[in-house]
Amino acid sequence: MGLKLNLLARALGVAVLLSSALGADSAGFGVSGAILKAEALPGEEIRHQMVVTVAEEGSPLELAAEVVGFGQALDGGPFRLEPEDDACPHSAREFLRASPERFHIEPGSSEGLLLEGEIPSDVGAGGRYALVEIRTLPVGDGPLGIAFAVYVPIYLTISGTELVEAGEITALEVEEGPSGGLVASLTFKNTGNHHYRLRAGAVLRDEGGTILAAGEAPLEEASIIPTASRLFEIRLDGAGDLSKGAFLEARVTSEDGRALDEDEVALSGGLP
Amino acid sequence: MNQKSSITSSALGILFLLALLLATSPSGGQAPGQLCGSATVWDEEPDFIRITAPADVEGWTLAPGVVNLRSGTLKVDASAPWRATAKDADLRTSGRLTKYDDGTGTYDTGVKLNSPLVISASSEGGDEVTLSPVGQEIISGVATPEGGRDVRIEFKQLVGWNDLGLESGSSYRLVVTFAGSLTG
Repeated sequence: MGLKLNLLARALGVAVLLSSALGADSAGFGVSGAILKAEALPGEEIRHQMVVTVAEEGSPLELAAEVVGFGQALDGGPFRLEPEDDACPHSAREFLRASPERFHIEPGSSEGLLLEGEIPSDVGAGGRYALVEIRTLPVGDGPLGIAFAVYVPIYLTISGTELVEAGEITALEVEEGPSGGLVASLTFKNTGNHHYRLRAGAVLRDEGGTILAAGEAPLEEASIIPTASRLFEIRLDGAGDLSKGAFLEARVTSEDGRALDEDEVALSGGLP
Repeated sequence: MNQKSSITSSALGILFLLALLLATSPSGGQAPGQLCGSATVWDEEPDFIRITAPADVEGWTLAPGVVNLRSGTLKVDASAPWRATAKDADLRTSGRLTKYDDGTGTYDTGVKLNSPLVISASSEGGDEVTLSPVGQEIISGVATPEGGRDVRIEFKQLVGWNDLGLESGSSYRLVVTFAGSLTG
């Protein structure tokens, strides 16, 4: 195909260059209703309408939609969890479904996509989570085929149940940053039963308690879901002599400023 | 982000719902973002994300002994903070260009380039990632301005002198999946 196109390009010359410059060969799609945060009662039926659209200048697409487990990477990014890895009690995958499961969209057209299900009457407390994965078959037959996906995060809070927003710092260390300076590396795990947003800060003190350096990570855009961990890398502004020993203190707080956990490590004899 | 409210709580809400039904409902159903069954509706503009990229990377002739480069534009249009990732979900290729029979459309998984494909959005403040079956963030951002945001991406492929040249009828191939999501 690539060779054929090269020959075609020679034959058509400027015309092909112009169409390439105009970027006529693009593909992809859009989704409205691309996130759901809702409260629901045990036994309640829920429906969430999404609309998938291909732009006029796009390519026709074959798509598939599926409710999958909600995995969350250390940076907060969502990823598909396979069923065997989605045994978490906070999963909503088993009681939600998306339809249609497969569909075709021509450029300039849209297709409705419905998420529906019934919250089990014995669902338990806290939040329930899933992703709707909307993906295309590959387009193009050159050396790099391109496929597209949109993940629609589903956050359901079970009304009238006890919401536990708790967590703990599971790792804390400090190291030299790639461009100099110090960076505190902090891993925090959601041990509660509900999602929440969080921020983190760290302070480096000498043995006398004097602050040598400090830093703060801004409020995270992505809520952390139960059992997930989040990695913060916090640049510490300031300087000081660590050779006589120091303490690194870290603190993670919720969006409303409530302390979720604090931790401290001793740095004896400077950086490890 | 969306707020839940009663469908009967405001006349404006009803008017907006009617407008949405008339303007955007593709199958005569609900407006996007609607949660029904509990007699509730989202009375704001629904959240959306759109992701587009070059439909194909054609005619990429790979030269040995150098890092081969191709560039393209990833376009993201989003109503809220978003992130875009890249992965090669096909375990037959797993991020490495693999011999592909152009006639039968099948991979020969025994013949791959030694170096994986690298995708970079670093010129736009994003990341450079080595393609793998796990989605890795290449760029993220806040809600885009109207019309979306163009992100220049580069495909980088190192070809060594010990990589196998292919005869006519076969080529190296893999499929890159770009994924977008709103963060909440």
